[in-house]
Amino acid sequence: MDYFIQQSLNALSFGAEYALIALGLAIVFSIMGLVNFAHGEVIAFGGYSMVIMGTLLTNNPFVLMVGVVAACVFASVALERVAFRTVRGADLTTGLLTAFGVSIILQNLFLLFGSPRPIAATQFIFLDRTIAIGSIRVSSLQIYETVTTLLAILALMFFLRRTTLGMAMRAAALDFEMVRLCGVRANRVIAGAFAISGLLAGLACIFIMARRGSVQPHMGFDPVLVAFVACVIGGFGSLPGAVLGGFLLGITEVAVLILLPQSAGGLAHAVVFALVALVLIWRPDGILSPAREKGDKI
Amino acid sequence: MNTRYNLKNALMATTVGLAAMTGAAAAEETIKIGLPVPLTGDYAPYNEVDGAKCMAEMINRDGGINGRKFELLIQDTGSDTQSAISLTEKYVSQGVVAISTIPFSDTMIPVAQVAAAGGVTVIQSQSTQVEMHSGVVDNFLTNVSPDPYTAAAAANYALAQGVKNVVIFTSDDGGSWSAKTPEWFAEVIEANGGKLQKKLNYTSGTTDWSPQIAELKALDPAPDAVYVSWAMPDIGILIRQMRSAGLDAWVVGSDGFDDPSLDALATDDPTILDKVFFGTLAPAVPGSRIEAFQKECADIGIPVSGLFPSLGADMIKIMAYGIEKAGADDPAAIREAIRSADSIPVMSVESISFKENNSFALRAIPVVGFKNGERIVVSQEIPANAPSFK
Repeated sequence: MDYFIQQSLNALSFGAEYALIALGLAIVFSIMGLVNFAHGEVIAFGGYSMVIMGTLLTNNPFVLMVGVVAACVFASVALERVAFRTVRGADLTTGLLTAFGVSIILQNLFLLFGSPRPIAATQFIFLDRTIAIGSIRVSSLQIYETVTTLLAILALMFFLRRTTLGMAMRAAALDFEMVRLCGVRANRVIAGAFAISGLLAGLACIFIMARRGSVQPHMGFDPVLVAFVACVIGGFGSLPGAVLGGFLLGITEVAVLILLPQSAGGLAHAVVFALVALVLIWRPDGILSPAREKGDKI
Repeated sequence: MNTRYNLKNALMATTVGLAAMTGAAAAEETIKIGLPVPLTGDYAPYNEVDGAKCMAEMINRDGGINGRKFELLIQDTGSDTQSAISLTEKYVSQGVVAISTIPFSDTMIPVAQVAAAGGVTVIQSQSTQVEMHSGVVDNFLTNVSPDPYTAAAAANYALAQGVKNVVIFTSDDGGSWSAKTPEWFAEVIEANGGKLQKKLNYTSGTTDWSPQIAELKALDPAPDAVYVSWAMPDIGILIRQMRSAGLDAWVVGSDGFDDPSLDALATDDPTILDKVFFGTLAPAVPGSRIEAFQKECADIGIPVSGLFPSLGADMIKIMAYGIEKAGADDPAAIREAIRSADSIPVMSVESISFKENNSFALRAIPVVGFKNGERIVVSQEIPANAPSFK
């Protein structure tokens, strides 16, 4: 029983990390139809910023956390201004290729100006401690990560439903041209979406750095690929769908890892993606794909 | 008349000048080594460029080999096999005597096949993969011993520490290095009365080992050691999560552990690495020849950091020896000179030899552990009980 509870908590933690990153992808996609694969490099930028701030300014982890989030918000908004604004009206494929291009350029900049090898940054490791609840030992990081993801979802829902900018974003997701005709500034809405995406990337960066204790050029790319799959499962463009997809993927991944015979370990990814394919046969647009005639995102 | 005389003088001067320039070019003809290497991409941490550049510079400053200087032709493959093959074709046509490339068999084999067309040797400073020694190519040399030796050396040290029950982590993502090396470790443990309790899977880029750790905690008795042949930062996370979960089993590994970022784990708590050790390629510890080399390189303005880049120096030293002994540019003659030598001086250890094994240099395998967070060599041997791999 303890083993079952332990693995269930692990699945929840995996899912929370995927959901946090998937939300960052979904918020941008829902507004401007861009699959931002450079989101992972925004996370890596946060990691490298942490190394620089830790070396030059302070080792206070709480100051660094604020710095990491600020750096990710800055990077995300800057990427929108420099790279994505020019392809705003283009089709999905152009945006996708631009995002891949930006991602590859940033990875190579990290390689050239940083190092191909991991650079240690251990200031957040203190977040990862073991807490004993009866006979169950839980990682404090798993709790922080799950709670933060849930709070982020609630805050995001509040923002989108109760604030002017949030409502403008929801409206833009439905009909961007109409929103502009109503006098809302398009640049402000889209920059707002990228800022939120950067904020979520910053939070994800804190947890990733707390677990890894080091930064590497490709550290953000793999999690974003998984988060992309989570968005597809949940229904691309749907924020609750991104969260649901993230948690489902986390549960599936842990289940496959522990249930698959060790001799078939190399098939773990194949099994996960076969299950994803089955979900998509059942719901081709994802589980919570937005109703086409309404198109609302939450 | 005067004009004709001047023209004649000018022509003679030009002819003499051209002859002099040709002579100078012949004297300055360089020894070319091609490095289609991963400067970017997933395998970038394993390139040997910095050490090779530094050693080539040192030899060139001392006058070169038989008066000729090394010229390294370096280009990034982005860790892509096809780019490595294309660059190899280019370098072979430019007259290189050797090629060094991405140190994984799916690249090294096709590169060696392309290089073989020009008789050129593929020489690696760091490749441990057994696939290269199965006879599939004949023009391959590697500066280090294959994985079964590092696995056996680590297992022998584990047995000496009283290890009986072991768990191994395997993954298909790193070829035989990550899939078979743990099994060779377990083979030696079992051959000496130990027990393989469980095999656990993982994938590249694992940032949370909690599911595997829950499996470890469910074992009775608790394992004495776990073995994983993988690299930082993933194994750093494994070590921390195991200790956080109250598991104090030895964490044993291969050369993938040999990265300065592992040492950084001990910054806050030096005891976290007390029960960690790994079999590796050459001893990169304080006071070692590798550390001295890195200091020399820093002094001449070519910083070299970490084991894998440093081993590039060995590759240059081996080629320098072969060229000097062969006394010619014929790659086959150079290869033969290297293979027949009883002892070739290199940077990382005093000397190596390919005589016994033809395609790899059999070395004493250092097993590196930690004391108060500092690296120490805990054993060094050529294991006689390395599992068969050919």
